[in-house]
Amino acid sequence: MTPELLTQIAALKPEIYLTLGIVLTVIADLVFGVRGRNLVAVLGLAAVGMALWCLADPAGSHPERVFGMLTFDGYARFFRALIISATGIVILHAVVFRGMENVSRNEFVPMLLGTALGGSLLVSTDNLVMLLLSLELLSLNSYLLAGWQRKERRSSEAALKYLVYGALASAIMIFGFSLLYGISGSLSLPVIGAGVSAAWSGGVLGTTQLVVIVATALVLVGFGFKIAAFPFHFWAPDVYEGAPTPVTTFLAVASKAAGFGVLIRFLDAVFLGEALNAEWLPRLGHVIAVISAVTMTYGNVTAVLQRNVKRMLAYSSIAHAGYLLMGVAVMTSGLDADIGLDATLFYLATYYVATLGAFGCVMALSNRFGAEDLDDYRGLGWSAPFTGAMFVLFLVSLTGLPPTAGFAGKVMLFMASLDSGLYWLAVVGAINAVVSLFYYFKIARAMYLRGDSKFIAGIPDRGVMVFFARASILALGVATVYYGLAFDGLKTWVESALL
Amino acid sequence: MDILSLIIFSPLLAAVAILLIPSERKDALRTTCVAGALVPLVLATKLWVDFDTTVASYQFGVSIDWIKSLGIQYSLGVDGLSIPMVWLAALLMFIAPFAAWKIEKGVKGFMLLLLLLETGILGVFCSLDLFLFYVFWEVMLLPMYFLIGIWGGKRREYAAIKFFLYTLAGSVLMLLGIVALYLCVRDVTPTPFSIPVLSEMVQSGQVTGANLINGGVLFGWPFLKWVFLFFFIAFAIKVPIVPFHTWLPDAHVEAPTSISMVLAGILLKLGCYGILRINLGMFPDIAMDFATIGAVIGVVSILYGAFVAMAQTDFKRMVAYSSVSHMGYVLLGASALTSAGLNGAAMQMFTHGTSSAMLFLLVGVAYDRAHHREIEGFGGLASVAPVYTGITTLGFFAALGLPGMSGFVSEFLVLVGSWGVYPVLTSLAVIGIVITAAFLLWTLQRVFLGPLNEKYKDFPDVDKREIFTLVPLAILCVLLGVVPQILLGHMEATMEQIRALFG
Repeated sequence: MTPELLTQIAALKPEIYLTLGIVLTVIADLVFGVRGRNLVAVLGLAAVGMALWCLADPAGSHPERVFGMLTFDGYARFFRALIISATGIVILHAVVFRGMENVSRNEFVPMLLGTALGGSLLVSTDNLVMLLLSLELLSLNSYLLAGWQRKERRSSEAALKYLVYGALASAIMIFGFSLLYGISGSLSLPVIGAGVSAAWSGGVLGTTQLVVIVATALVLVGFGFKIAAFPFHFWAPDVYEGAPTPVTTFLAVASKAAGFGVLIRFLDAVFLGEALNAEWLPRLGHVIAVISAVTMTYGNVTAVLQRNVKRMLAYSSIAHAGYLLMGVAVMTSGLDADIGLDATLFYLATYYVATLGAFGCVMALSNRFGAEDLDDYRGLGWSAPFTGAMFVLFLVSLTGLPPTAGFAGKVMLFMASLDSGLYWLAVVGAINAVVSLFYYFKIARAMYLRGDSKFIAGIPDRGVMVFFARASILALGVATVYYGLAFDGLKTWVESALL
Repeated sequence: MDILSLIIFSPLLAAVAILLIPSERKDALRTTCVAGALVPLVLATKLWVDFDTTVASYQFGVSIDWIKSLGIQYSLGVDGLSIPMVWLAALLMFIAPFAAWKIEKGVKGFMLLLLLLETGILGVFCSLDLFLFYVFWEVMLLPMYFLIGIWGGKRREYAAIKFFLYTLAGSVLMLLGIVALYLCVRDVTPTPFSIPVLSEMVQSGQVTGANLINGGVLFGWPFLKWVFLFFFIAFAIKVPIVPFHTWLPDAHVEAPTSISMVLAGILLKLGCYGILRINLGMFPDIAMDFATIGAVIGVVSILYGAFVAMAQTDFKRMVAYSSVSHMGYVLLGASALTSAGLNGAAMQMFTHGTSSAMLFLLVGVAYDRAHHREIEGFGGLASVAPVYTGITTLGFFAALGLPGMSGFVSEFLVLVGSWGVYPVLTSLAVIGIVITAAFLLWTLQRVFLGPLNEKYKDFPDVDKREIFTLVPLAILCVLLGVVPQILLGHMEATMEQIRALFG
């Protein structure tokens, strides 16, 4: 091995630790079986911890581009940090999740690590083949995880639905890729960008332009599926509801982050890299703005009708995809791309904190009280004061009220869209915040306003892992308030992640 | 720590202390809440004494960089417009735990939320940075939602979420307005959220929105006009001004007594305060364009509120609608843009704060004993509860603006101030006074006079705790009616400065 190869491999340290984690957890499962439950979890967490530690290592100790396919820039680091840390928290919750007692949790951990590995590579690559491979690594693992409770009808249904929709979306996207390859003769995104912009140079709308439009549309279908944007969201509610809650959490946070990570890199490399026809880029921005408005409105309005909390949060996550697309729309609207990207990443970080926390509370309440539907939540705030209060805090953040991080995120998005002249989109976003309050507070209403305020013990939760799961909820809660009141640090971090 | 921060955050500290007290120790919780609310009251009184009445601009100012990347500052200060409100808020929030003493359900949560609410309210009145202002403005909503929703009456769920949704709908528009202003000035000033800086820049014509949009015109209107409108809608919902008032009767009626008192006494004033501070103080030119419309909806509110109040059979609902009517005077006075009108509007905010708080406490007294609020269901209470009758009469007189009571001075100032500008509208507003007198006296007659309703022959008179909550407010109603200068002296300089903006 040449020293140069070694330094390149050093850039892959986080991924190597994840892979190592997969191997070790599988071995531990083989050796200890069910008795090794906590060991497997600890090994998984250790792998995640090591990966995060390597990420926190200041950049510069390794080259940014590796093997001509991966770019480990600040942007990739931002997304990898989100995806991998979310994986850690999900493992923590999965170990103590009662809903999964009848199924093996030991194989669950390596599967989850594999998903994180896929996501982590997905957001780092600018090569179509690598992109496809890592996307499929992420997706295939997700399909399996969604159906983890084999004997549960809903879980199996979720997995099947996810698989069928996902395969279709992948197929469409690959077709789009093939067209892009046809235009540019390359698999590398920057070269494709050059090819696309050359294809435009004709000026009049000819066949080549048409091919670019079709290819873009097809690729966007694939990414739209991953981030659950309207009209490619159909799988999300059923999958979110049917999948075991830890998996739902992972899909809502890590998988969505990965989807946005690759979508933005794709748009940036192909459409923003070379000076594209100034007339056409804003049109792409407008298309995304419309998708954004429809997605958030659809997600929010439909969420109002839901009775199952997980399903409600699924629609909420569709709505948040709409919000995130707001920033992407600004990015592609032809003005300063950084404004939109900045807002999107910032919002994603705040969404990450609040959603992880909210699902953590869902799992905690499900463990103790078996609560699934809104009606099961009646009066639980009085019996579980800590979880209840934290849940309200995360809901406030998801709605976007101060003093929480979600508020800062919404301010950034509104700022970006007003700045770029998308006034109508800002107003739609603002009105959507009001709608979302209505259903988020259905949960608060059930927990505090309904039922008698008596103490119900439920099934007490004890153990070291439960303690750490709780601590993670508390940490997320503190982060929610902290980044709502002092978001300078978060903003600086996000700025270091701009493309 | 400076005095304003202490005033704002001492309730928050008490809230933290309450978290640590076990929920069975109810009296300890209540006492802690009272103590936590006493500190701001004492400090606000000191503030009132130390306040220099000759200075029109902000006093006791603090400014610390907060979020540097956006130029947001932690910036506080009070002037003649906000200092009466700070003191009133501190007083009512001190009375509130006493009014809620008998609540047994979830005392810990109640007292905790009450203190959080106080921090939010005081923060809004002291903020000189729009971002900080907005944070405090929204921080109030959450405690209010739970206070109405958990401890309210039968339709509490509906009332609580309605209040929340209405207010939020307004405030997201305000947020867009704040962000738009920021984008207009961010390249020109290092503190693009500062209220004094923005006011000065808007008034000197430096803010047009032309850097955002060509010519500063958006959908046919000047950019700033939209910003003005967004702010105005947010405040109009909070006041509330007809037609945005429908949340008010529900929230006031369903909320527990202490919370109705806080709602009517202070929360409505936040809307008025915003209109005076932002709409008038920051955008005088646009405010002039809208003044006539403001006066018209003010008078509509006065008349509509009064007529609807007269039609109510529910005691509390009647008081709630009378608030809509009384808030109309604030808008009318503010729209007159004259010295008397502005002073009257600002004073009406204070006097209504005391008199409506009193009325809600009085309704609470009746409800605690009779467990209903039907005006027709009482009768002849004067013979069994003389003290209660006496205080109620005083409260009613203060509310209907009897000479010698505080309400008279403020309504008189409003009418004097607006007469020269809108004679027709002012005449119509006078009709409102007559109707208010009519329904209040009619209610007085039905509840307290006439033959005693046999059901209530053992109706206990007000007890010491209730007297303790009512007396300070009653004293204020009389005192300000006789020597309004105590209050006006503090306000005049600032109100004159605002008036001067209109040439």
